[in-house]
Amino acid sequence: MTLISTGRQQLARLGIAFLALFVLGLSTTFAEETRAIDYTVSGFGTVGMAHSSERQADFTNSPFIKKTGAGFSEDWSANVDSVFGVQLVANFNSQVSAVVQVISQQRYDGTYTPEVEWANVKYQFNPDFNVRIGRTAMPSLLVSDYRYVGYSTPWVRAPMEIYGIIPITKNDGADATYRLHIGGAASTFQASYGHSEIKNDNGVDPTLIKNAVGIFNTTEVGHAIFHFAYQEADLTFPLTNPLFDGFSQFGPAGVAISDRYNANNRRIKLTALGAIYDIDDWFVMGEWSQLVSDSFIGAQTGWYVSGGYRMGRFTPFAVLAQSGKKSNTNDPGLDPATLPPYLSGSVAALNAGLTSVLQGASGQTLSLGSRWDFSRNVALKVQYDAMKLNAESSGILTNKQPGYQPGGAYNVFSVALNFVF
Amino acid sequence: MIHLSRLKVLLTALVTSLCASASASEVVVVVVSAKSQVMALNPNQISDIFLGKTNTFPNGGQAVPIDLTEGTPARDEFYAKLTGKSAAQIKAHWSKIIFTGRGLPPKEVLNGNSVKIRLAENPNAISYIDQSLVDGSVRILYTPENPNRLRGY
Repeated sequence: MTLISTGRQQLARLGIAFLALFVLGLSTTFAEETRAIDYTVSGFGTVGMAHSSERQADFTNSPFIKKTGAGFSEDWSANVDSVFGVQLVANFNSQVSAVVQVISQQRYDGTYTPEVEWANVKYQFNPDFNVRIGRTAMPSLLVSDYRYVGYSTPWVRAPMEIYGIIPITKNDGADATYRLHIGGAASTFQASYGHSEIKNDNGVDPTLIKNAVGIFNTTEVGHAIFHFAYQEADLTFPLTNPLFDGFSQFGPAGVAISDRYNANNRRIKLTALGAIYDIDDWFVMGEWSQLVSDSFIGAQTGWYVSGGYRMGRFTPFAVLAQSGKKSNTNDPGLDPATLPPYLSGSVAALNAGLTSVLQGASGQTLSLGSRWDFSRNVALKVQYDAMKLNAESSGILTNKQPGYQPGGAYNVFSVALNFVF
Repeated sequence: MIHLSRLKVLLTALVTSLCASASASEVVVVVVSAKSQVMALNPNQISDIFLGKTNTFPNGGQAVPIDLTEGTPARDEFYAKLTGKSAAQIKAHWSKIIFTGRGLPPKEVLNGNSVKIRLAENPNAISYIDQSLVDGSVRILYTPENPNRLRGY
């Protein structure tokens, strides 16, 4: 599957996709005059502002893809949560449909260049079985395939303890979905295969997710929804290459450290479990996930529990979330005593870098907030997050400045306006 | 025994009149075309069809739900009574499905008379109208009860 490499190319591709839909639409209209193509345009968006008390690093909702955030780069940041999306669905007949969704939010380069989030063609073999080819978002977690559609979720953003640490989001490939009805329950099984690419910053190679396979199940029984996901992929994460290339220059001991911890084409496995219970005036939900890789990632876990109570048009909510590292977070690295004194400075810097990446995300967050459905198709949310990082961890913070001290506590205050049309 | 049954009649009359005054403006009934093969549905089956959880009737036939446009009181009443969900919750539910490419909400028409035209055109269609609009062209499948209070998300 060819991967998109520049914004301009992306726009060109998008144009081609729309043109293809249009031409396909015309030809089908001429071929079969009795049935017109059914087009539906929908959209969603969030205008958000967030403030972080940690001024030596940035807080954002997508640390893998965004350039800046609240804290160091901006005092009150609109880049943390703001997003705008438009979607076109074309139903050619009762079997064949296509969807193209384009979203605009801050990217790795700081621009809001629109990106294709979804672009696939679906063939519906029967009401309960379909196959899609093209780009989809992975349903790794309960809300991961619609996490940017703020109107659909109770919070300003999905809990970062697990939504912020999973790099596998999009999938360029194919998937098959089968829905099974057992008594009053509906159980949906999905299997997928594909690749994806996450652009980092200018000058750094993109993160690659290759040969990604996944199985997913969502089962609805009465007021409860249960979700399960298992995924495997080959991950290449070039952001840590300078660190491990550095170690490799220090002979066999350094090469051994690099071989053990680098993330070049390493298998990564994600297991996730979640459930929602939503009845009348209240809901509770929770998720657990574990990311395992034979690299510096080791075993990264996270969970959250959340609940909300509907009081008229207000829905106050709370979230308790925790992330942690189950694998080794401490490696002495290279011993400076075995090396000439003039190298001790570089070795100390490399060892500090290793300690930092091994920490992963480790800490707790308590979030309190409310959603206010003050008007049709528009919701206003406020949220306060209190984060406490475990020693040495910087959690999901990005753009860490020299003065940043890991392991501290900080808080984030956010306001977001969500809409759909 | 006579005494008890008289009390029951009185109570029934009282409850009926209370209910009538509570929702005098709208009594929404779930309808299909008089030509439809579907004779009865329970509230869960109707709710599944309108929330996109199934697109077939229990007899296996295709089910085509027809909605009134957003903001129509009869629509809000229908969903509140049948699913216990507010307009905002229904919109949030469909937003999840729409923006993950899994489906589209029911087609919308402007009013109860348009509903009857659609039902006449398509025996697979199912919708809801104000009870006052019921005539020989439609069959009532269910009358939702238990009004719910107004809610946000």
